[in-house]
Amino acid sequence: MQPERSNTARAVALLRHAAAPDRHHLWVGALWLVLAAALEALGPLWAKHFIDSYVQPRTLDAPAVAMLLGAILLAGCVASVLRYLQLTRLAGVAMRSVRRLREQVYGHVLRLPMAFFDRAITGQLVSRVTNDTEQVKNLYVQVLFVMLDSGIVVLGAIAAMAWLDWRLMLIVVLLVPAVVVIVWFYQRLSAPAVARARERRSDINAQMAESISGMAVLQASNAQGRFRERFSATNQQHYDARLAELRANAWLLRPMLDLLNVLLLVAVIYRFGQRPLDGLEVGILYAFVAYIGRVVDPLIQITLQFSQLQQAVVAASRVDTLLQEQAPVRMGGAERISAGRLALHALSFGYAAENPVLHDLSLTIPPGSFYGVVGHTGSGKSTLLALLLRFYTAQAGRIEIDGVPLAHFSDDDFRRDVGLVPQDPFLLAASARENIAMGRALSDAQVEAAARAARCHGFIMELEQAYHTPLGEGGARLSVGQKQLIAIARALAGSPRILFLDEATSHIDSGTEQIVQQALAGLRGSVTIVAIAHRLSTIRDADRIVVLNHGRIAEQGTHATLMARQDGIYQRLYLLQQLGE
Amino acid sequence: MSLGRLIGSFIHRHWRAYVVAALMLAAVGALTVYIPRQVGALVDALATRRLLGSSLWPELLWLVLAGCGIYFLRVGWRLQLFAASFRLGVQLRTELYQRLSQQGPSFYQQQRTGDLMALATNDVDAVEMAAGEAMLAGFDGSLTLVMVVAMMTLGIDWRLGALALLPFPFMAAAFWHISNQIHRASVDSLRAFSRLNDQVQETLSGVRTLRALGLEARSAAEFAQLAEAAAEASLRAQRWEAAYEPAVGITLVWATVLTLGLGGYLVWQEQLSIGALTAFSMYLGQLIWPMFAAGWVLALFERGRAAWDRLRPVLGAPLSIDDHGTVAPVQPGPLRFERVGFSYPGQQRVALGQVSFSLPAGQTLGLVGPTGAGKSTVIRLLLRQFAPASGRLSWNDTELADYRLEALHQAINWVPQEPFLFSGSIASNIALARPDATAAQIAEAARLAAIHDDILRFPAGYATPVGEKGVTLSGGQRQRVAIARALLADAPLLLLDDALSAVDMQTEADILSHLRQARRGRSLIIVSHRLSAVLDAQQILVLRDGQVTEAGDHAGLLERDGWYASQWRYQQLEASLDAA
Repeated sequence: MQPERSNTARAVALLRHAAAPDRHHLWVGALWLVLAAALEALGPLWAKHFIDSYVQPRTLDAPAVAMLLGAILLAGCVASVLRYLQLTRLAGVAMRSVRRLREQVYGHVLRLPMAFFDRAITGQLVSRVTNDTEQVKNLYVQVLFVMLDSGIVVLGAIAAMAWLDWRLMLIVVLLVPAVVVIVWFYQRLSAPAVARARERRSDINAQMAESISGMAVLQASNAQGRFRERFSATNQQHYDARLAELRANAWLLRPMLDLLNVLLLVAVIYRFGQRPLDGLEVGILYAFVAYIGRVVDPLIQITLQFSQLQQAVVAASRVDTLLQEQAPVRMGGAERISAGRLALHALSFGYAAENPVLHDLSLTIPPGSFYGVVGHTGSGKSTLLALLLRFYTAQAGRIEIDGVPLAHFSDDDFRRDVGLVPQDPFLLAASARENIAMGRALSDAQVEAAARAARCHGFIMELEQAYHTPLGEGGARLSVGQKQLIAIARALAGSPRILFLDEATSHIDSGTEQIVQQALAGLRGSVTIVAIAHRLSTIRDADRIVVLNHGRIAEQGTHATLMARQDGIYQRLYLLQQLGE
Repeated sequence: MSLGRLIGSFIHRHWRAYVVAALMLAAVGALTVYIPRQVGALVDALATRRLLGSSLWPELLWLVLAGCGIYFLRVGWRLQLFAASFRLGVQLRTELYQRLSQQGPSFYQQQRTGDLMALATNDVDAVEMAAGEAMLAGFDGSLTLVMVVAMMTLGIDWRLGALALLPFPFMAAAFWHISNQIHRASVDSLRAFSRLNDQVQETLSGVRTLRALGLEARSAAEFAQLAEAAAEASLRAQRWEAAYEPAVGITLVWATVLTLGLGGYLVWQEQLSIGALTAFSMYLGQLIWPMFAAGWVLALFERGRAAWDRLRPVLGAPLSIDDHGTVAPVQPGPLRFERVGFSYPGQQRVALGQVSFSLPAGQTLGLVGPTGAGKSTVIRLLLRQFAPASGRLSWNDTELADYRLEALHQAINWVPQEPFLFSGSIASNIALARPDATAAQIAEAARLAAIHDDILRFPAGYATPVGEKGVTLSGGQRQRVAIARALLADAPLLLLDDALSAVDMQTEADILSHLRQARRGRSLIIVSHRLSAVLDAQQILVLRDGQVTEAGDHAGLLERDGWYASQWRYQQLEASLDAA
């Protein structure tokens, strides 16, 4: 997939942005690398000086020679250490940039509207956040490491050669276009083979995975032999593709560049022999032989980076596409929930507009009352809760709390004043207290009051460290019922005005269910409770029970009045549940 | 068999490729050491002005020839040796697949799919690397080392050689250490990355709860922590990677200075020529590779051995299905379970205890009961995925184990609970057991399974790819494709293991009536949660905790007023609500 130009530009901007806080590190690193390359380039220069001034003329000046050799040693060691330090510095820049990019993407994804997650394939999203950013890491590492480092080394060697003998240097510089042409050819020849090999490789993985999961079916269908042949064929194609890749690699890369190296040497020696020279200069030849080696290798490294670069830019532009996804404007306003009166006015909603799930729903729930919402599978009760929790916005109609539209409350206020007990209690690997307080600044007394109201104070006190007992990953130490009571305490701890229960009693034992019922009864009058219930016994005592059917309110009333309805939906639901137990 | 033995036997089989490659490598080595020598000679000639201008040409020509020779030989051995090691990868993968395709469910229960996948990819790669790259680098490296050292000490000056070589063992040790650290760091880094991946996966699939409870900030903080750990681990790997720099640089500069010092003295003493000194310096550069190879090869072998240790038990695991039966083909007749008892391997719980029934050819048997009652276990024993612990299981008075497995599979069609579609076209999926079926036969089977119209709505009809890279079918569509598959195979016995659970009741009834017509005279066993599916069966068994608790036909079971009857009332009521 070739991104459009503007996409590429945006991707590059994204990458620059992620690296921006480390910009000074880049400059400093580059400067030190220049110094290191200069020090390294000095070695052969001094060696030349040593040969031409002392060895060839046979002048023995012991202190001067010792100084010179010591200087070579020192310069070489310092250059090595400097380069090591700079490489790790640049690697640090790369890692921090990727981390910043990851946090940016992840933070953005968490802000996206719920409707986005309905459309998105989770696996793909995960891959955007992790794999694509990992690809981008390559770019930072490659670009920063190789381009900068190798580039400086090549330039340093060329400068030193020019200083020694610029005409000889020109011969060496010819190498640059030659390497570029060769690598270009290599990429052209190998790219299709590499792509094919990669494709076959993923076919091999896919076939392997598929066969392992479907082996029983394959065996029962006597098809395993055929699939084995297919696997062998793919395996063979993979081999062929790798061989093609190998051929391009063998003919054009290392061996070819080593050949160039030899040819260059020949050219330099030839040029050298063409000139009238006095014996004093033979050290130049020594120095050139040393420099040529320092040009070829970095040049290969640089040219090989381009395909990596392209892949990374594609990955970055995929990340960028995700970042372009609109996050909703934060809801907000100065309104606060006071009484907790809930009103639905002609509410209609569908996940896809042409396929409505809720039709024209109107309902008023007085403050402090206890409402139960029930319905068979697919009646729309979970969707109604999703709207009440502001996960989606209704296509028609509106929801109001205390006469104020839902969207007018700020996120923080809404979360403080509206509590939720989900179907599966979600417990953090933290203490009981933290699981109830959930990062809110609550006093011990408030936490304890909530725990008492949720009827979990008793068993918490029995834990060895009471409220400070770590509950383990996912609350591993507690029963499902106990976890649910903690979830209720958590919802109550913020003293909410409205409490939603999302099938909160589906998975708990009937003993705990009775405790939940008592807890709910204790809240009556002080908190508006809306319980979406699967288990009808939970809402038996509700002030009012609303029966949804195919997205409409089909029946409502108390348990007694609804049960009295001959052949009513509630009555049948109730019967069904009794039969099921 | 150890890794060494494996590679040894492989080399033995492809000895020609390895011998040719070794000869080529040796020639490359010889030419490689020739080049500095010749350059040294030329430098001397130039320094003493023995050769000037065009008289240089013949001497340079030798260099060019040597360069070209090295080029072709290098290309040659690469092709030889790498092609051979790729072959080893192909061979191992094929062998692994072959072995896996012969293993039954009790083998797969002990293995995780992810682990098996890793074996087929990473571990095979590691063994392949050990046989290819490592063998190559080991041979090439040691050969180069011997030749270069010989040239330095014997060819130029042994005193200079001995002194200049002093720093090199340090380089080899550093390489060995660094490559080990890199490996360890990259394992850590991969682990950190996969933890990061898990966290994102987990949060994004539970984004509703997360948002409802206002856990975004907490999750972002957790992510930041993991992202930092991943960056940290990755940075450690990079840092070790960078450590190659000073290891090479410092060793080389020491060697160079020692060479210049002693070499200069020797030149001054007229015991060494300036050309020889130049050649000697070139040799120093040629020693980097053997030092690198030493550390690298050891690391590759280490990894290869670890991978081979993981691969070997799977390749050598005894086959979990024994296929010693000789009777074939299966002649349709009554199917009999006589006091069959069974427990899954490694489990205490009795999956089936003393189950007996007899199904005359051409009749239908319904198996119902709560989850975990042993319904699917009956099916799995029939398919011989497991062998019964006690009792007798026979078909047409021949014990099931006496049939050849292939013949048995030909006589039984099985539609599992979770229908499995393989990547490929819909047509090829339906024709899984009968690859020679015509398009008309396939379409007929699809029509009977009530999936024909759905298939025609797909972009390419029957040629539409499904699976990984194709369209996604709904659960009900997948089940119906699986039914079509079974119908096309048209075996004497059809097993439906809750195979219509995702299809609505009307479609289920249609498919079952098609089945009855098309398969008149052939046996059918239906496992179902929905009692409506077994309504017309001649025999219905209610299984609970591995025991038959009720048996009879629909009317008889309703009269008994047991589990079946109450379940029937429940499902009737539920159906009325669905229709409301």
